[in-house]
Amino acid sequence: MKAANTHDVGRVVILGDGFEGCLAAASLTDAGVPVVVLPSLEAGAWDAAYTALPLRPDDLLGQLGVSELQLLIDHGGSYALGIDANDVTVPFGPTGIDFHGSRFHHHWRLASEPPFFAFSPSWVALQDGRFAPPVPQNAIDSLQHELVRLVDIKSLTNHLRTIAATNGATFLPRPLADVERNDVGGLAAVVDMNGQRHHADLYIDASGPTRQLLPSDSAWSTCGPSGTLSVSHSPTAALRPSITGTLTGDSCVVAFPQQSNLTTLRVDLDASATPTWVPGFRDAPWIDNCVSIGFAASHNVPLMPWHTSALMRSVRRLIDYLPDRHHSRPSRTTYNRQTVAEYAELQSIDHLLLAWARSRAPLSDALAARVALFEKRGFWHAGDTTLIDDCTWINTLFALGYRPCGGDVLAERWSMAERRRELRELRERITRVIAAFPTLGDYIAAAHRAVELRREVQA
Amino acid sequence: MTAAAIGSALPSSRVSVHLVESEAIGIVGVGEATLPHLRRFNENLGIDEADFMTATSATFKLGIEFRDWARRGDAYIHPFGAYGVAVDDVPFHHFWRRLAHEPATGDISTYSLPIVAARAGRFRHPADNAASVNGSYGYAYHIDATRYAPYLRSIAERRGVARTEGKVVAVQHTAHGDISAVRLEGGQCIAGDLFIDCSGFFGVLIEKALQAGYDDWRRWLPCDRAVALPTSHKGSSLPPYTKATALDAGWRWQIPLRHRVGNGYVYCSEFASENAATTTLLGNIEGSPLAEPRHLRFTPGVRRQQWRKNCIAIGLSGGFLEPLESTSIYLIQAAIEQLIERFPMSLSESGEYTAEREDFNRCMQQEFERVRDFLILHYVATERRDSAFWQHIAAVDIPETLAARIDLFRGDGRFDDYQRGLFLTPSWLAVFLGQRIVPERYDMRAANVDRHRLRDRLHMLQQKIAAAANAMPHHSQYLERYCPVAHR
Repeated sequence: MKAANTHDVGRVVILGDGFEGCLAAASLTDAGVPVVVLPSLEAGAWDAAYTALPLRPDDLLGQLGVSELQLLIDHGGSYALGIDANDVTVPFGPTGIDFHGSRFHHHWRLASEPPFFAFSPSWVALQDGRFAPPVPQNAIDSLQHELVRLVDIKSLTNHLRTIAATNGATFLPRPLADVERNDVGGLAAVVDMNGQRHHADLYIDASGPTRQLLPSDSAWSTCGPSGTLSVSHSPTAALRPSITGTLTGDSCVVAFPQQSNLTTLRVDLDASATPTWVPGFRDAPWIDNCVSIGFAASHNVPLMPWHTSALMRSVRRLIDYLPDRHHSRPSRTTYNRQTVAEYAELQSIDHLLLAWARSRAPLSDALAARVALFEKRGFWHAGDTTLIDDCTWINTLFALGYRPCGGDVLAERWSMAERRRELRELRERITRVIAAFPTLGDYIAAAHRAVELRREVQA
Repeated sequence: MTAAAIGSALPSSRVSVHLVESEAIGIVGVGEATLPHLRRFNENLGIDEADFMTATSATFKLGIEFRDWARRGDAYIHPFGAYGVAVDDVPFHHFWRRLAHEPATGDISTYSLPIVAARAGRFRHPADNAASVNGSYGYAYHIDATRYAPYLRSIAERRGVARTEGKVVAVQHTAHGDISAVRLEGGQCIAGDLFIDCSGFFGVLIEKALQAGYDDWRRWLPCDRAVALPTSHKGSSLPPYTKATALDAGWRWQIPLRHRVGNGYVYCSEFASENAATTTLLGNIEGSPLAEPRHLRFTPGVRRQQWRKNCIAIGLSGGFLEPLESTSIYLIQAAIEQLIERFPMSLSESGEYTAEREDFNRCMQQEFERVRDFLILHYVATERRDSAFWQHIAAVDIPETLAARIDLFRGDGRFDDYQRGLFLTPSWLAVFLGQRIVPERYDMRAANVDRHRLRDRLHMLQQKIAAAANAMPHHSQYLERYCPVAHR
C-alpha cells in the first residue's frame, strides 16, 4: 500500500482575532496547522454572545487544556442551570427519567402530576439558587442535570490567543485592507494595512457580522425580521444560576451574570434601516478556499446558548475536513451540509421563541408540523442533527405552554398506582439531592478558597 | 414478529390483535442471518436467549465474510464492532492509515476482536464494559427462520393475540377508502380498524387493495432472483459468521445453523437463467443437499407509501432490497418499532392520524434509502469485470448520496455521519477498506503522534486483541454449553 499524503498541511489565514478567531487559531494550531491571524475591526463586537458556553454537546475548551477551574477562577466564571425568559423558566438537561421503555413526559401526562419541571433537577436547583456540577451517571441514582458556563469572554479570548501563539500561530497587528480574488472566485491573498499580501491555502472569515472575506453576494437565508445588536456591561447584582431574557414582539434582551460582571445583549428588531443583525445563515459557509464561521455565517437570538456549540462544532468539523491543503470538494460539500443543518435547527428554536413572544405568531410549515406531532403525541423528531438535544426541545416546548394531549401507548401498559409511585419516588430523590447542593455563591467561594489553599501549599 | 411485538407492547384494554395467516402460503424464510438489533427485539418480548437459540437451532454471528467482491481472491469480514480505539476524537483508521504501508502494521482486521475471533472460530458473549477490548463488539444470530415464526406465534397467542387460519380473498372498504374488513376463503369476514400487511411480496392489502405503489431499484441493485438450498454440515467447524461470496451473476450465501447450513445464490435474471443458477449453486455447496432447491423472485425496491390509509406494510410487502448484509429482519423490526411509537390513539378513521402516518413513511423511506446505498457500495466498489454481470455493474449510475460518501472517504477517510440509520461509520469503514477503497490522506492529527510510539501502540493493540480472541472458547463448544440441542 502506498504511503498516504497528509504531511502537506496547508497554511491558514484567519481574519478576526475575537473569540471566534482565537478559538479557531488555538484549535487549528493544536492540530498542527500553521496559522496567521489578522485582526478585524468588527471581530469581537458580538463576542459577548459567546459568554454562555454549554458543556455539551461539544466543548473544544477541554481539548485545548482549558480546565473548568480556570473558567471559574481565571475568567470570572459562573454557571446557569436554565433560562428565565419573561415569566417562564427553561431548565437545561433532562426532566425526569424515562422508565418502562417510555419517555418520562408520557408518564407524567398520564399521571397528571403537576408541575412538569418539579422533575427537572436543574429547575429545582435554580428555584433555590443552588448549584453543583453534574456528576458521573449513577453516582446519585442516575439523576442528571446540565449546566452552561458563563465567563468573561474577553479574558477567555486572551487565554485562547496565548494558547494559539504558544502553538505557533502568528498574530499580525495590522487589519485587513483589501482582498484579492483568483480567477475562479476564490481568494488569492488578503492585504493588510501596510500593503503586505498574505497567501494561504485556506482563509477563515471570523470577522463577525461584516463578513469581509466571502463575496457579498453569497446567499444568506433570512428567517425573520432584522435588527441591531448592542452590548452593555454592569456589575452583577445578585448571583443566580440562570440566564435571564426578556422577549417582546420587537426586542430580545439577554443577561449573562458572571461572578462580578453582568453582560447584557439587546437585539432590537426592525430598528434600523441598515440592520447589523439579520437572522439567518449562509447557505454555503465554505466556498472554494474560504470558510465563514460564527457570526459571519449565522445570526441567532442569543438567548439560547447553542450557537456557541455550533461555533465549536464548526471549528471541530473544519479540522476534521481539513487534512491538508487540498480541502476537496466532497469535504466542502459535507461540511456545508452538516453545518447548515445545525444552523437551520438553531433558527427553528429561535423561531419558536420569537413566535411565542409575539403571542404565538404562526410557525413555519416544517416547524408547525413537528410541534403539531408533539402536541398530539408528545413525539419529537430530532432528525440527524444533535446540536439541540431532545431534552432542550421538550423543556422549551413545555415551558412555552405546549402540552401533548396524547401519548405513547406503551406507557399505558403500566398501572396508575405504579406510575405515581415512580414519580413520587423520583420527586423525593430530586428534592433530597438538590437540598444538599450549596448556593451558587457558596460553591464559587469554596472553589476560590480551595485554589488559594492549593497555591499556599504549593508555595 | 409484528403480532408478537404489538400484542406484547400495546395494552390489551386498548388494542386487540387478530392474526390471519395461511399455512398454504408458507414462509419465504429469508432472514436466516440477522443483525445485532434482533437481540433488543427479543429482549423486549421477554425472550430467554438460550431458549430462543435452542428453539431456532441458532448459532452466534460476529459478522459477515465477503469473498471475491473487489477482486477474486479477496476476503474481508464486516464485523459487529469498531476497529481499534479513537485517540482524542481522531478515529483509529487514520492512525492505521498512516502506517499502513509498513508490513508490520498489518491489515486493519487485526485490530478488530470480532474479526480475529470469527476467523479463529471462537465466540464468547461480550463483556459489559464497552470501553474494554472484551466489550468492543456486538453479535447477532443465524437462525432457522421457519422455526422462529412459530416460536413468535406461540408468544403472540400467549399474549392474547387471536389467530385465524385462512387466506384473504377479498378486501372491503369504507366510504373513505379505508379497509374495513378482509374476507377469507371460507367466507369469514374479519373487521378491523387498522390493518397490517405482512403478506410478503404479494402485498395483498397495501398494493392489491390500496395501490400504494412501488419504487423499483433494480437500476442500482440488479439481482432479482435467488435459489436456496439447505445442506448438511461438512466437517465439524461452525464459523460464527455468515459467508457471502461473489459469483459471476451475483453472490452466494452460506449460513451455518446448528443442524444444517443455509445456502443460496442471489443472482440477476438478466445474466443467469434459473437452471444455470441452480447448477452454479449445486456446484458450490459443500455438504449434502437436504431438500430440493427453492426459487425466489423479488424486485429490489420500496413501497412508495408503506403506511397508506389504515394499512401498514411490514416486511416484504413494504419493500425488499436483497439478502446481502442480512437487512430484511432488521427492516421488519424497524417498521414495527416505528409503528408502535406512532400507534394511533384513535383508530376510528385514518384521517385522524395523518401526522403519524406521514412521519412513519418519512422515517422508513430514509431507512430504506440508507440501507440501499450501503448495499450498492458492495457492488460498485469492485475491480471485477470478468463477467457480463460485473461489466453491467461497472456502468451503474449510483445515487448521488452514495457517490458523495465514496468521494469523501476516498479522499480524506471521512464519513458523512448520520445519527439515524442501520449502518453507521464502522460498517461503512469495513466495506470501504475491505473492497479496496483506501483513503488517499489521513487526518493531520494522526501525524502528531511520534511514529515509533504509534508503531508500539498498534502492536500492543494487535497483541491484546489476539490474546482476547485466543482466550475465547470455540464457537461450537460455547454453543453446546450455552444452549445444548439434541440434534446436530
